[in-house]
Amino acid sequence: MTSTEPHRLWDILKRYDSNPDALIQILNEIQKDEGYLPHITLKLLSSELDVPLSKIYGVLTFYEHFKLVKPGKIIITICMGTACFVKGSPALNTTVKNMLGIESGETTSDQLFTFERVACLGCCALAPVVQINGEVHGQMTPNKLQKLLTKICKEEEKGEEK
Amino acid sequence: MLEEEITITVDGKELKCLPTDTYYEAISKHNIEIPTLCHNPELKPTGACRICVIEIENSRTLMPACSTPIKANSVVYTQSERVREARRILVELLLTSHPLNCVICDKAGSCELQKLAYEYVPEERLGRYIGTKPKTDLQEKNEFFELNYSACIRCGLCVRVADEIQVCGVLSMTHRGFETFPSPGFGRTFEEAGCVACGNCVSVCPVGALVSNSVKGAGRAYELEKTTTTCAYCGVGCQLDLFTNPISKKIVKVDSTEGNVVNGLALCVKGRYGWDFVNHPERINHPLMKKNGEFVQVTWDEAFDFIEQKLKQIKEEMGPDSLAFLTSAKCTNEENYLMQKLARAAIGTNNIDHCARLCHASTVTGLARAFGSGAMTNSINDLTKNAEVILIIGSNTTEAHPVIGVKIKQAVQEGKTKLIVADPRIIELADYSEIHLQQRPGSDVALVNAMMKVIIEEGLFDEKFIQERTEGYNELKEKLEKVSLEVLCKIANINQMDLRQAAILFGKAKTAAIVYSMGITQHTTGTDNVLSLANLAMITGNVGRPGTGVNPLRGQNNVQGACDVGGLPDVYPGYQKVSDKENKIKFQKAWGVSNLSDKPGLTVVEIMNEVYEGNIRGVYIMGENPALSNPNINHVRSALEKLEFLVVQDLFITETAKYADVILPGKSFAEKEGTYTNTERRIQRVRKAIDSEGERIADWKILQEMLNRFGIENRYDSPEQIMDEIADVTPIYSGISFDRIDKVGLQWPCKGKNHPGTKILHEKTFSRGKGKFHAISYIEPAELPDKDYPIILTTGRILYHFHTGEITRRVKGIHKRRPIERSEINTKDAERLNIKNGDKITIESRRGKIETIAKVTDRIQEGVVFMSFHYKESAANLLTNDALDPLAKIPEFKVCAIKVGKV
Repeated sequence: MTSTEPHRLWDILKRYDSNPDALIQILNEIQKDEGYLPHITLKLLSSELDVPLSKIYGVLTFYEHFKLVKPGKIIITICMGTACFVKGSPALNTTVKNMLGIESGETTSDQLFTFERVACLGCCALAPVVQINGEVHGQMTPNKLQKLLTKICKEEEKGEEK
Repeated sequence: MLEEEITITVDGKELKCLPTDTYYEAISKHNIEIPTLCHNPELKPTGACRICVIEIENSRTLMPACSTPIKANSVVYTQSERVREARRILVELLLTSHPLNCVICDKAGSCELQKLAYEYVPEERLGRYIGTKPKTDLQEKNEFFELNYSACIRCGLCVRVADEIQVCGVLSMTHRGFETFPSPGFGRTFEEAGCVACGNCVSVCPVGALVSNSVKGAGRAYELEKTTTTCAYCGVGCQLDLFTNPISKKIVKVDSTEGNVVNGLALCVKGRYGWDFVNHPERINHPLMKKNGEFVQVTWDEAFDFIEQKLKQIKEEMGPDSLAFLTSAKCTNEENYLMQKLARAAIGTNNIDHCARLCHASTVTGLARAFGSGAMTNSINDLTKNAEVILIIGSNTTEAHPVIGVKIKQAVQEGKTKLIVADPRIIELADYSEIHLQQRPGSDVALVNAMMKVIIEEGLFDEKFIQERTEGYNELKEKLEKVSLEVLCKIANINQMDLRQAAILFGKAKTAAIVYSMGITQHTTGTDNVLSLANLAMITGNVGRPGTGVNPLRGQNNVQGACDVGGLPDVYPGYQKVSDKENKIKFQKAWGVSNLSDKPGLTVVEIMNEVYEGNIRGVYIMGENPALSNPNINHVRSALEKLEFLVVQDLFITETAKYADVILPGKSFAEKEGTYTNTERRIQRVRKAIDSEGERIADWKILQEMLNRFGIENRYDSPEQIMDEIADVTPIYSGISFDRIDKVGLQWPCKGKNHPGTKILHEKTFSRGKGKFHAISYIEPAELPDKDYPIILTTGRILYHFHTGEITRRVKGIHKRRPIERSEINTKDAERLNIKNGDKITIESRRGKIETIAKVTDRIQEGVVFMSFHYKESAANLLTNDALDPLAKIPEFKVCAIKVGKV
């Protein structure tokens, strides 16, 4: 949903009866559609729900889940939960940083990768865990992760050549 | 003990309390202090800071006093070791992420955290916890204040004030954990998020996070002196404290007076930040006389001698009516009283008027005819606390009367009040309204008549009230029967359905109030407009009860008072007619003279016309600026050029003062004593906060000297004695004395030393006995758009500036924020004229031509341009029409025909 497709926002608002109490659900639906929360949509939402933009910002920055920047094509999520942490996720962190040159919460300039960290993915038995576009890769090591990312990069290059 | 009171035991003492109180409220009322960081009595408690915890017997945990309702017979400890230790740990934890730079912090001395640390944390425990100092790249630094994020303790007070008091939605607590900070979000500045710089959030910050620019390095809190006084801007009459540094002799900051009944916590940008002018280098410090075309400094004696000689000479040659006096809605009651005394008793003319003529003259004539008394019928607080419906017509309340504006917003937000807004522009309050009627400028009579027609058709009129308390209803009804709703709506250019809905909403409400301002009064049909609103209030029985009434919002700080004490050409103080013989005898006796004139004098615009004609040869002006404020100022300026003798008494060399022969330096509100009367008829004290520079003399002293020179031998030691004299001759002020209004102002009529003042007028009977309906027909504005001048110009005010800008444009922050006029033009008109937002344009009427900047917006209707009259570079009044309302003699500032061109 972008400025060209506001009707999708109207659909969502209709479902929630433009009720400001449903702000979080509405934000969730927008993000589901768009992958993030575009500023222009939030501005519209603010005037439709009669909720100041600052309040919307307050709500969405409280949750790690909501994104204000368009994420890359591939989202790398490293689990920093206790089990993963103990089993070496900080090293995985460094691997991603070194390879892609971005910090957690950032996206590469070519819009390919977004890197984020979460508290727990709920599969501690596989620790340390990295999730790539929803797919869980368990018992990860820096080496394995490096190979995986290199593979993805190559595939993407090929895809572009085609 | 009252039946409803309950008892609690606090620190071993039995206290009687109201069952609706929280522990904090109950205990504070008995002067037992409970510390707090996040509480403010005007805000809903949140229990965020936990500093106010108390121990309640049989309660498992410590409870926050601010948000726990009291229970009968409970036993409470506010200073037990358990309580003190809990507070101590909280303060220690706060200190871990707070910079300990108190030695250079501007808040030191008034910082709540510093105070608590001093009381609770022993030295050995300072720094016991190691915390992180959160880093943030957030910042806010604007013309008025800054938010220093590193000092923020996240109490949330600023956010709550923004939400609950100012209702601006600018701030929110954003992010989470250590990174939580109040912010407008999305990297916006406060202003980009809609901040209007009221500074109310700054005033509640308990630490040095939100700090006004003015306090930086200007002195520690304990070095400052506090003077409680009344704001000198609009008619709301906010009570404020001027904090001054006795060494630098400068004002350092302004806060609202704690617990005051008028504005509470709230102030607006002008009240809080608009006082730079007091110490402005362009203030006049010495009397000036024009010699060979140049102003030169003279002694007071020389100036007084010259004025005396000239006034006497002109009076002798052409009679007293060849002189005229303009008094000032900015000056105190006492000064206005002396000014009219000077005109009437010393000179013997009733040619005295002031700028009320330009704002609410039609209110005075209209409401006097309908009700018998020309003032706001109700009070600010009963309006915003008790009205189910408020009709706001021709008042851009949030800009012109900001604190009443926020109170109305609060009432709407709390769900107590529904708004009907009738305004040609989409004003801010339109966003809060149920219905916005965007009428064509000048069609108010048609709109109100249409509403009454629907109310009668729907049977929503108050028959009992009409029968018992009014007269003339049948004529009105007959008149309304003769016109069709369709025609009326067409005149006003509004949708019939919307109109019907608005009328029904108003008619059905148990309490409905009308609030209006210059959108109603500044028309050639101003009196008709006011009479129509009086009709609407009476037809629905909405007079004389809380939350009802006809409520004109007065423009200047003391425009109400200047009228009350006789600054009008047809009445003595207290609206006693000069044409009435008995009044003449009474005042001749009171003033010890025998020359009072019973011929009503000339009004502001008429005075300038007579000056132009040469019939008035001398004018004495105190604190008025007709060369900018009057309509058609080209005409005014050529009149002033012709004028033989002009005295101007003011703070600055205004546009008008440039034409003067003598300029006398008066004192500002911060340098003198006196009283102002606010829009709700409340007489309040003005107090001296700083010594003035140069040879300035308080205006009342200047006038006393003039009176003495004309043989009126009054010697007043202070304005207090002048007020005593006012009380003697003015029945509605007879109970007023400085003693009685020392803490809380009284509302007139206050007829006697024990009279408590009057919150609501016309409760049992109208001032004139029965309320009178007037059957009014719609009359067109004096000048309508035509082929040559196809657009309507309407004028008004903006939040940041005041009147002709002589004061606010000298306030650094305000000037920086709004340095130039930006005139509103509708998107479609702009497109047609090929004008883009920010373009330089010309506006031309039959009377003049100016240049300005276009603000292209949909908030104004097609075919209408809006200009403020604050900027002399783009003086709207070069364009406006000086056609007058036949009764009130108020000019039609709100409608004239113009054409717009691109530069």
